[in-house]
Amino acid sequence: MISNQPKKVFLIEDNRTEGMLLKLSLGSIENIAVTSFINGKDLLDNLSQNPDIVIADLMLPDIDGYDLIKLIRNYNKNIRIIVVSAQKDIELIAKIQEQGVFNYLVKSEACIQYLQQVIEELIIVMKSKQKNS
Amino acid sequence: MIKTKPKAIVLGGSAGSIKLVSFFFLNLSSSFSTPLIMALHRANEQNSNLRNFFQEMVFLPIVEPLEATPIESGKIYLAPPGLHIVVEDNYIINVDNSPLVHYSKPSIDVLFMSAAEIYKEQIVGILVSGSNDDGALGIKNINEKGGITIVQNPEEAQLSRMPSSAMKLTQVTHVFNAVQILEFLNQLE
Repeated sequence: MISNQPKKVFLIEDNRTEGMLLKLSLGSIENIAVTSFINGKDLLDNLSQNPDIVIADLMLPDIDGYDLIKLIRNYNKNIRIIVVSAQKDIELIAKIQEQGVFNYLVKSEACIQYLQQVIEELIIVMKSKQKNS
Repeated sequence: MIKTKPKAIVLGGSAGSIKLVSFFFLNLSSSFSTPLIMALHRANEQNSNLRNFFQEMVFLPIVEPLEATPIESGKIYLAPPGLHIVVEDNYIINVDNSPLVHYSKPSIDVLFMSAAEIYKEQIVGILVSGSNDDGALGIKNINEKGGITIVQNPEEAQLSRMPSSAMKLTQVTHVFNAVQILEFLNQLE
């Protein structure tokens, strides 16, 4: 049976303006519940709420984004991670991808629109997996 | 009449808003002193002299905020072209040149949401003519914090989408024509 429960999305972004812009961009997606965090510790403390998706920045005040992703993956490999970062370093992006992140978006004017699309596609994938399991 | 004097007013608009704001400035009462913070969509290069254009019409100084600009009575703040502006703790305005853009930069939603968080019920949000949905969620946030929300009557607005979107999303306090918005501003003193 497919659950109609809203997908839990955790958003971590320490820049207040960018956090608001990302949250706004998710506002038009149906059936998701977004919780925002401004530091890694608060997000890690709340992982027991079992988010479906984490949208993460890499430059955070209290933890390296790469380490945060590893900790989330170690906690639960089913949590889908999308990175939204200004980092364009190819080696770093490759290293992050190796951790099994679903998508990596470089912060840009177009990225907000693309993020909506990525989340919507991800929800479809998750629902179809649920249906087949 | 309103119960408590608001500490600040935020105003957002897009296409069709310049003429309306000019009308307010030309007719503002000499006793008006509530800080007015504006995010108006404009092309980066065009209208870059918008501050000077407006300054010719109004007696209060118009400031394009920089980093950590304090919000003071008797001043008007206009978001610089191509930058987001955000109200922070201790009543300051910060500018943000984030590459992220939701509808437009400056984002009316970001200004309104940040102001609602800081001022709570002591803010007035005014959304006027415009051609996209920016500002609607910001108006909803101000409502939820107990502030006063005003949208320009969509039937009068040059472009009705912006005020209409806010009205669809939330119960605004007032739907006013231009003259009524001006009267509201002038009774604040």
